[in-house]
Amino acid sequence: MIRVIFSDTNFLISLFCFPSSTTQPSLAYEIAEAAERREISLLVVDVVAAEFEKVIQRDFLGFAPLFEKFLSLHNVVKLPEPTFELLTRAQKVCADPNDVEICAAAVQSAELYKVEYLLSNDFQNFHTPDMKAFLLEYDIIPISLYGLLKLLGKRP
Amino acid sequence: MTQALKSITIQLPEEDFLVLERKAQELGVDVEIIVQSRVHQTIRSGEVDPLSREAQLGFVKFLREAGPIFQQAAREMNLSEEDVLRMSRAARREVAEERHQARADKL
Repeated sequence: MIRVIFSDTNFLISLFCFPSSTTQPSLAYEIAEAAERREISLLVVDVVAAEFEKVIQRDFLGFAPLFEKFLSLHNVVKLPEPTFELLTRAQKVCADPNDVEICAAAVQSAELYKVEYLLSNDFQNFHTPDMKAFLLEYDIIPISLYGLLKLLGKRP
Repeated sequence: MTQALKSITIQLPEEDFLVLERKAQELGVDVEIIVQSRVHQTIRSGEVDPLSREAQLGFVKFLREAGPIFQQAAREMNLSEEDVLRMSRAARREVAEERHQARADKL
């Protein structure tokens, strides 16, 4: 069965800004290649796409047409409005209240799309014991880029 | 010259904003450019299964086309992985505030 991965914004930015180092593909690019080989499926939800868009508007002025193309080629998922209960529960485990939306979106994605992993290199906010315990209730595991490649057997 | 025009709303591709901005600077005219969000207008929810082979290949196809362009820009900006986290955190704060406000407006 193909593993479904919730893509966090920092992964998307890394993917586009660092597709390769000088001699080899970056960790992020290797993950994209795994998606191409259908070893995993990358899910991009609306709130993550909106954050990605903000980054483009602020830091990559002139790249909006590229973002439009991204939206047209990759099917971004529009999630339903999260319940008040879910937001309240997420709020309790988020070190930064700004993460509540993403945390809730990951839970919704687990329920709707069988997401198993939340792919993020934001160790400070998404790899905390509280966050891990909360996500585990919904069968989601926060995982780093390196951790995912390890899981896929591409790293020792 | 009398400045009768105070405000106008037009839609342009973003590359044209840059031309407009430069021209305005040459003429000494103040121009405020507001780039509106396109995410919710462009999402094709329900058309294609987001986990399908087609959607996944679309993602990688786009990456192959746009990756080198982004990478060049990132190199010029001397971006590091820490910068990426900082940029995504700043965007997160902005989107969270917008969604919070949208909910408050609904109530």
